[in-house]
Amino acid sequence: MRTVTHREVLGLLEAGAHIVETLPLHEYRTVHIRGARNLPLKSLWRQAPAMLTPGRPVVVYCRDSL
Amino acid sequence: MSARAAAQLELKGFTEVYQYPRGKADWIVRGLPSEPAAPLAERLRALPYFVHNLAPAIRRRWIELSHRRGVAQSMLDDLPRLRHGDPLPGSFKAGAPPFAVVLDGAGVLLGAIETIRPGLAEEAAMNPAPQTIRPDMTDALARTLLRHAPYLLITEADGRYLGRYKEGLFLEVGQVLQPVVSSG
Repeated sequence: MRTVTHREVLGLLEAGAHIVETLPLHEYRTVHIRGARNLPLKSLWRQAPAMLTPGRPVVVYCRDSL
Repeated sequence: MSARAAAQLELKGFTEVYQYPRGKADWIVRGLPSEPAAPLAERLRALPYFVHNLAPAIRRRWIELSHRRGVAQSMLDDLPRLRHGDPLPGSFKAGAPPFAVVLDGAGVLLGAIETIRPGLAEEAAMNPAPQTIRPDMTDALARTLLRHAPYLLITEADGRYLGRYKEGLFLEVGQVLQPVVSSG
């Protein structure tokens, strides 16, 4: 796992990476990074294999580093 | 939280996982593309988090200078630490959940064991999203969060597990000392 900056995220999105927001649905609905899918941490463990393409890069984010 | 998500994805077999720790606060304050376009109120709400992302020392120093009690003073490291894939013990010492924490090879928290039944698999027994807080959070804020969560686990920003938050731990120590002080 590698940490990335906003610039690197833009590059990864250009290259076709998945982007996943792990916050609850109501926070995702308020605003999310364009193109992001919502996989709250509670369901990510069980649902990620079905929702994300194996072998494709994945960027995960939440609200902040706190 | 993103560190824990990234660790979970790696264990699920995703080989190219990136974590964007500064997250949505960083993204929307910078005015990068979002859906829907971030309203001004949301951007203003994100601003303190954005500042903390860039300079976490400012917040830590503020906590120090204002003599606020921190979560680190109310931390217990008493839960069994299981490695992902380890067989679950048949019983645990603790009387109420969480009974144990599950960590990956780097010590990143993957979840907390909340259910004990003979033969139950780790995935069924584990809550993969327990509420976590950072060690430099103020004790007052942790107590507020505890009203909405059954327990709080303490991790570093990179997801490494440190212990669990024990409300009133500091006060309990004070209560033990009090009779000694008053007897003198």
